[in-house]
Amino acid sequence: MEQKKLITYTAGHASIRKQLLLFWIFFIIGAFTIGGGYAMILLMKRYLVDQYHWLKDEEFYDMLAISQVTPGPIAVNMATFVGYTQGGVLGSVLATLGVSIPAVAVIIVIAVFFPGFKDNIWVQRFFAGVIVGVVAQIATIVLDLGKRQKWTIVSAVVCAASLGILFFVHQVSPIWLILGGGLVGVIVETLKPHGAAPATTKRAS
Amino acid sequence: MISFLALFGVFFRIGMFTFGGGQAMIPLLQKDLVLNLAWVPMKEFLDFVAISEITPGPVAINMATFVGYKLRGLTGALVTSLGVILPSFIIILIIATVAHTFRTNRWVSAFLDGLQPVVLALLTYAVYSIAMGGIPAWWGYIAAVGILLLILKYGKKLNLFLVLLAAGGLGLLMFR
Repeated sequence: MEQKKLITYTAGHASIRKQLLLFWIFFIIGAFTIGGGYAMILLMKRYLVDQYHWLKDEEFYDMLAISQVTPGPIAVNMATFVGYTQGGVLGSVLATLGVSIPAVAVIIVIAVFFPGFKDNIWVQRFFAGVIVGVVAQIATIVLDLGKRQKWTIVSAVVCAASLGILFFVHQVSPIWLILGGGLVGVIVETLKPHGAAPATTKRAS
Repeated sequence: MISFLALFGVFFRIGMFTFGGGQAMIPLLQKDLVLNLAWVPMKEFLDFVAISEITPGPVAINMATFVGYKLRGLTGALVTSLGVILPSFIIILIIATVAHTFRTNRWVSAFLDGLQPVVLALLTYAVYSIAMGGIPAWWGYIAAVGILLLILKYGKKLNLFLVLLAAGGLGLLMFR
C-alpha cells in the first residue's frame, strides 16, 4: 500500500575514499566524545546530516532511537548503523573501529604513563569546563528534537510521563520507558481508521 | 591468572544485556567485577570510572580497556574492548539488514514514532544529570546557557571542537 518509500535504510556501497572517510569521521567523533555517548550526538549530526548529507534529519533521529532500544554503547550502535547504511559491512566495521580506537588508545596511554591523571587539578578544571560545553551541545539536540517532534496530546503525555519517571523514580532502566513509548505508538496506530498509513504521509515533508 | 576467555565473556555479556548506553553498564560492571568475581578492588574500580568519564570515547569502552589492561596487559585490553563492542555490532548489523522495511512497515513506523518523545525525555534528563554531576559552580550553568545561545545563533558555522576547547579553557581559568 505504500509505494513511496521515503526513507530506506539499505546496505550502502561506497568507494574506498568514502570508506576511509567513514573511519576518519567516526574516529574524530570518538576522540571528541567526552562525558558519555550523548555528548557526541550534535557532532555526529553535524557531520552526517549537515556536512556530508549522508542522512536526512529523520533518518538520523530514527537511528538514534534504534541505538537506544538496542543494547550496548550508543556511540557504537550509531557507528555500526551509519557505517552499514553508508558502506555495507566493511563500512560498519570501519566506523565501529573508528569510534572505538580513540577510547582504547587513550586509556592505555593513561594506564601506562599517567596513573595520577585524574588527580591533577588542571585536568579536573579543564574537564569541568568541557562538561559545560557538552551540556550546551546536548541541550541543542534537545531543542532540535523538540522542534521536530510532531506534538500531539499523546506524545506530550508520553514525554512528560517519561520525564516524571526519570526525575522521580530512581534506578529505572531506560529500556522500559523506550518500549513503553513504542507500545503507545503502536496502540495509537491500531486506533486509527483502517488504511490511513499516517506514518508515511506525516513524514512526507 | 584470569583467562582471556573469561575476560571476554564478562564484557560480552555486559555489552549484550545493558540497555540505555554505556553509563548504564557501570553498576553492572561493579556488581560483576568487584563483588561477584572480585577481580578489581572497589577503590580501583571507582578510579576507573572517574577516569573513563573524563577521557574521550564511549565510557563502556574506556572501562573495558582499563579493566582488561590491569588484569592481563595489552592483549587483555583488546580482548575486553572487543568483548564489549561485539554484541552491539552484531545486533545492529542484524537490525540494519532488515531496516529498509522500517519506515515502510506501518507498525514499525508507529513504534519508532512512539519512541521519539521518550528519546527526547532521555536526552533532557541527560542534560540535567550531566550538568548536576559535572558543573561545579553556579556560573557554569550560565556559561552553558551562553554557549547554547551561541550554537543556536551561529548554527553550523560554529566549530564544535573550538567550543569544547574554549569551554575547557574557561574551566582552567575559572573553576576553583
